[in-house]
Amino acid sequence: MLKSGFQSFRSCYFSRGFASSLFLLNATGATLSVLRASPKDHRKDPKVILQRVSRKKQRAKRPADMNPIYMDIPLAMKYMRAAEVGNPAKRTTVSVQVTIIPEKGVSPIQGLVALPKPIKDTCALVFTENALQVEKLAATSYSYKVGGNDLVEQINQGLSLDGFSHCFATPEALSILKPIQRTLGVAGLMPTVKKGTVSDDILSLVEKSAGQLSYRLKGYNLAIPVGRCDFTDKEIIQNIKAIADHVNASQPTGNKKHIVGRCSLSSTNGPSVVIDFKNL
Amino acid sequence: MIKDLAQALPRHNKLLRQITRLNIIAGTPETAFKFGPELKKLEVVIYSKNILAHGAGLKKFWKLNLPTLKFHNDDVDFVVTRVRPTKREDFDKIPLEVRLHQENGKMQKVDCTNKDNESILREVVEMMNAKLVAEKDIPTLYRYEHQKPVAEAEAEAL
Repeated sequence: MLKSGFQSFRSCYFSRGFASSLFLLNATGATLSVLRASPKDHRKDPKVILQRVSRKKQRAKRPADMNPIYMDIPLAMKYMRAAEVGNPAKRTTVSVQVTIIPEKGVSPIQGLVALPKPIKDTCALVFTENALQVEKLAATSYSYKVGGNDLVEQINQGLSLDGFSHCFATPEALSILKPIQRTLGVAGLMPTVKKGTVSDDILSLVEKSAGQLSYRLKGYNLAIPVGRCDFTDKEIIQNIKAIADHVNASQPTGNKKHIVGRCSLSSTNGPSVVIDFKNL
Repeated sequence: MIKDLAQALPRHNKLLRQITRLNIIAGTPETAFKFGPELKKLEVVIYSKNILAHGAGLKKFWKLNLPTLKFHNDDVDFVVTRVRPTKREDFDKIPLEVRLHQENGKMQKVDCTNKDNESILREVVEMMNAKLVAEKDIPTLYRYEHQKPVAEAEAEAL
């Protein structure tokens, strides 16, 4: 088979000088194309995946100060402010990226964290015709817009939903939302029982949502915004500490814990530096 | 003097790239200056779009020199005002300048038309009598321990 294969290869080589394909003949004389192993198959090999995870775990256990670009948060913020000089404050978001290697079989780390100094001002849209709820809200200092049928009419006539981050409703007000269901749904603001945005006690919902930020572990990385360049060092440290406490609280009970690795701080156009996430 | 930031950054190693970016921001003994207490605000007035060549030097001053000045002068307010003219004739009316606002309310201007970033930096520094930052006060990051100067390594060990 090899001889006939070589002969046919030789004849192919001499008859057509541009041919570069290699082919073999099987027992019946039919040609078989020889496929090269793709580099992508190596990455899907289970052994290679295990090796990669164990290397990540080793790197995650190293202390933060061993990294050449490790520094404390005030110095890191000095570099960020210098890199973002001249840019408007709204475009200079400072965020942390934490490497977390989750324990097997545990649901991914996710939740809502209330930052001591919120990055974005939250404003709630409240649908209710209950005068008592309106009175309770009026006594607070939270930012909101409340109404019933009149508010539905305003939204129908073109009131912008851009400034609103949350929307709540009392159960009896759900029926009046049908005309604007599509408008609210597209903006991600439609109140539903499943999401927990429908309740008789609207005040508690507004209190909980004020300054809250949602986060979720994607793969091995958790990226959360912690502030802007116009925040003071103390505010940034307080926000990072709140996130660190939340991540520690979400550790599974028992002996096996998630491995919290390197934490990097960076801004929109700035460099990335390593900070200590565990000992704040 | 770094002419182009994109060319100065290494592409093959992410860690080295970040170290280079941080060292560029911290500056060198020739580019790091400390202003006195009399300077309150430094304002750069520039076009919103990079259309005309005689504003190129000022834009380079913003991108290359201003971060180093901000790093060493944290208490000074650095503002960049981008002007967008509506008509083509108004391009010539836009001032390309650096405005130095002082504590006593006075304002000094440095005209930056057709100048390169080094001469703009020199003029600003001379006008405000800024002093060079000492080499020991400029933080420099290294990838490996053996690259650090001996005195710095000993001070860290202590």
